[in-house]
Amino acid sequence: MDTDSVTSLLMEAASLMLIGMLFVFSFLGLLILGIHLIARFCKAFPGEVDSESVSTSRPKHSAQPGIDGNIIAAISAAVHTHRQSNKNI
Amino acid sequence: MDKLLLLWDSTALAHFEAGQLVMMLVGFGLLYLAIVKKFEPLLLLPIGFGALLTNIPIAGFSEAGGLLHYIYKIGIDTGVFPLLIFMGVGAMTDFSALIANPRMLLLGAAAQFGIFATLFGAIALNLLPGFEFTLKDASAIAIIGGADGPTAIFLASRLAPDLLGAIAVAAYSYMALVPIIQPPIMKALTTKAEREIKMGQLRFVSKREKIIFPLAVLFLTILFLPAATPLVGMFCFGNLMKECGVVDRLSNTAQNELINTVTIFLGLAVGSKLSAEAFLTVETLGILGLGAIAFAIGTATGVLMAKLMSRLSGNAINPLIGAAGVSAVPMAARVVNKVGLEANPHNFLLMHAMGPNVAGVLGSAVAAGILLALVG
Repeated sequence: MDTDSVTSLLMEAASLMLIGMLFVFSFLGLLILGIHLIARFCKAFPGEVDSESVSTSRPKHSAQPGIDGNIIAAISAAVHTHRQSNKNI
Repeated sequence: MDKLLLLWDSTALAHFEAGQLVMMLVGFGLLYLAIVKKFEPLLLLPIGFGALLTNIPIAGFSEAGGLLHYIYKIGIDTGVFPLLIFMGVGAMTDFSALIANPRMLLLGAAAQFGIFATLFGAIALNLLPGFEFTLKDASAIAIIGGADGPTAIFLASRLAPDLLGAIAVAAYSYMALVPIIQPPIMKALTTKAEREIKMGQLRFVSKREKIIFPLAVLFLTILFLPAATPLVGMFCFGNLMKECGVVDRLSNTAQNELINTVTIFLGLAVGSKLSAEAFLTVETLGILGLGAIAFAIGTATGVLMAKLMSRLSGNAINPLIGAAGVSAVPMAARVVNKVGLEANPHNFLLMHAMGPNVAGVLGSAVAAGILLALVG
């Protein structure tokens, strides 16, 4: 390829680089604004409780407050020894 | 005697050309990398096998009427396969880390400089004898710097189908080599104190935010860059299926069965492009070289941008996470985590690196859209 056409292609590539990077930055910059807006919207209108936060609170419900921690520890120790002895057989 | 000659003529031995043998060796090389070295095996294995099949004399796998010819026509010529893969990737991507810290999008943007700098480099290669890259060729090669296989294949199939084989092989090989290419650049550009910076915990992201996010991305793309809507649209569709929680069956199919099926055919079709006349050229060497440079520049600009943001934010950002901006999900984020742990064994950067990592996927899709709009 002759030098002249390469030079004109290089000029074109340089302008593509400039426009491309400018556009990528402004597009993703706009998206940053968008995410902030979404966050603000979701804070203002939280809607119903998230299923995820419900799922994280579930274990607390299942551990009934009436049961003593010592009893749980004793039961798990018993199950463990039972399994161990079965394994030996 | 005639019958013997006829029989001899029907064997592959009588028709093998040197180029086909070399390409079969390349195919075996890819199989070796996939099976023994475990380099991107999900793609390099079908690509390597496709290369073997397409170079069998007489069988005509890639000629009109051949299996690989049809798979290529249906899946890659039309651009359908990379888009379906992108949908699956969308269904697998969790944007929480990015939504919690949206500034990370700037790192995903900075790392795209690798693409545009390589575009420049590919054109400059024309000054050497043997290289004749048009602006379309150069754009398709440059997208290797996006470190995103489906995006690279999609753009190459639109802009430079002849170079598709070499571009896809380069893109997936370098993605596999991320743990080797990136750490030296990351270490060279940061001090030990910078690598030790601990980042604050990310905030909780609600389900509603995660549902609105893909819709917002799509809306912006529709407004400002419709050329990128095939890629971004399918990606956002996949992500919405995952996040909305009402179509788990579809989301599971997109991220498992469908993406696996398409990957098989995509790999074979890309392999079918590894024919001697298309691959054994000096241009392939140029593409492989430029791909490595694109990766390196993208990593470097990502880290430099993160350094700048770190300075401006009063050391709240570890510059290492900038390297994840090149996408290559989740490999680049894992590399960041590993390099961070080397500097400080109690510093886990994985979640923080996922932000720029998924931002890089969006960034490279946007860059591909720009190239399609301006060059295509």
